[in-house]
Amino acid sequence: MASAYIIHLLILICIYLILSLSLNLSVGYSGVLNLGHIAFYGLGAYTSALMALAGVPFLLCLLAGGLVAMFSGFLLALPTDKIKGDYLALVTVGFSFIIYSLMLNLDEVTRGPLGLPGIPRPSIFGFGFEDNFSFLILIAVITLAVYFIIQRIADSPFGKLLEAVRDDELAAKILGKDTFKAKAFSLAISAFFAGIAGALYASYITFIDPSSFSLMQIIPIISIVIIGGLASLPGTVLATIILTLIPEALRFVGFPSSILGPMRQIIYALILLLILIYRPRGFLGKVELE
Amino acid sequence: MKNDILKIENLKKHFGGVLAVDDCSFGVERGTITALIGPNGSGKTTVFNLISGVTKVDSGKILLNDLNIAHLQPSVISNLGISRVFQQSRLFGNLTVEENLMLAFDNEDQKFWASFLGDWWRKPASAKDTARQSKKQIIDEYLESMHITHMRDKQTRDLSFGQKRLVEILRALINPHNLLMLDEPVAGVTPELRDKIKKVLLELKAKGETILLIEHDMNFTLKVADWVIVMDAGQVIVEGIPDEIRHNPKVLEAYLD
Ligand SMILES: Nc1ncnc2c1ncn2[C@@H]1O[C@H](COP(=O)(O)OP(=O)(O)OP(=O)(O)O)[C@@H](O)[C@H]1O
Ligand SMILES: [Mg+2]
Repeated sequence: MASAYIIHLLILICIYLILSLSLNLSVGYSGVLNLGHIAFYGLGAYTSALMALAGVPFLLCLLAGGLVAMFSGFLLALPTDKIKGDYLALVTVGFSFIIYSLMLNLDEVTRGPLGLPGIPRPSIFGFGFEDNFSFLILIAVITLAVYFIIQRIADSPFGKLLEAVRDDELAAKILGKDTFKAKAFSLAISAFFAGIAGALYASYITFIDPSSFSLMQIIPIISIVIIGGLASLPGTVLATIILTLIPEALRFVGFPSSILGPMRQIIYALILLLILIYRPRGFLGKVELE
Repeated sequence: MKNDILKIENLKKHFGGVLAVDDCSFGVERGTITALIGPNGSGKTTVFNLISGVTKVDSGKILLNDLNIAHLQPSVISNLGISRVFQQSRLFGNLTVEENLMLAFDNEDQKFWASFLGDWWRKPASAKDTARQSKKQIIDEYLESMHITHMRDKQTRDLSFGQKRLVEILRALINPHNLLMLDEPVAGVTPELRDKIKKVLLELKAKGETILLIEHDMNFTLKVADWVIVMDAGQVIVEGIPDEIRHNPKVLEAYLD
């Protein structure tokens, strides 16, 4: 049914929006090249799924998913004081890989590659979100809230401090700023929302396995952030919608799904390349990195 | 006994085989403009970096109001009252002039929750709002005095070289301090701007500011400085009032080498 398909697409767009908006906070605003965002997403998904399977109410699972991700965001922030730039990016990749390995190998908890089936759909104060339409309403409301919270942070003096750290960390220190604390906060908040996205994903699909949280999954999200424009939230929204819809459009033109998977990565890489050459600030971005 | 705000004692720093600062000692007297001069590579910027904590000290003391600040973090040193302009521009390039200056007033922006909640839980005319308004006013006054009001909402990476210099000086001025350090503030700027900056520095001194200045331009330096310290090869070779320095054979020799 066409409308069921559209609802599904909109839900996916919302999940991607939460992920990419929150990634823009750490990458675009504070300039931490964080390639470990998928790990936070996965931690949120697994934490909430395990709790939901144990019978914990949805809202608590959602919150716990966010908090566990947030805590690991603080942990990942620890080396940012000493390690910068490309090396830091490598550390975040390593972190993502470790989390992925844990999902795969902690069989007793995660059931390894078999994954966790039968995750309950959300239910809030007795109201169940069993059908996809009500789930769409729920996730749309949360996505809007996330957008406004991140925008509020970005526009606040703290957000300007993050941008100062991104543009010139030493200059910020010379103004007396505790730049480490600023970066740690932004990573933790960014991770919190990724955890929320993970929890929502798990309760939507009702099944998770490690393959959804592998290193490669960062590519579409980081592409969205760069293509939309660093530190531009409207740009991120635009890019999320376009990049989610392009592969679907190809499906309509008759591309078989077996080709679409790999095609997706190629399309993202291609758009990314074109943007970096012709529009280095992205669709709506104002920020240029040195 | 001079009334020194800053005292450098036997400061040393080497990079590999290069002794950039070699047993350097001098003082900066409160309420004066002290100039640090010397040929290229004599170690002036390194001294600044050591004072502001950007570079780790090998040995020696840096006393700010008798507190040894060697080995402290740059942000801590800044908060103890040292403000600085770098030799190369270090503005936040993607932020506007106003945003760059706004960041300098205090460290309130580090408080995440207060910053996030802002006036949501306060009455509109809260103390915070008025503080912000008066900050904007101060910025406007400064920009006006420098005739760059029209630049307020421009991203600083789009400014000309001279405009960047002015904004950097303003940012360091707004940053609360007892000692202002400027690394070659007039290098590469037009003669008009040079005069403007000279005027600003003299006005600041009249208001009681203490300034430590690195400058190559002898004419400029000898006109604004009360005290001149000459460095060569990492060491202080002479210090004195401008008139003595102008005719000192050691100084001429150092510059001719
Ligand atoms: N980070 C560094 N690593 C290695 N060597 C350095 C470093 N910083 C400075 N030096 C060296 O230390 C010496 C002093 O340099 P410094 O920049 O302090 O000189 P300066 O007096 O400021 O010169 P200029 O007038 O050209 O600005 C030079 O030989 C320089 O090459
Ligand atoms: Mg220098």
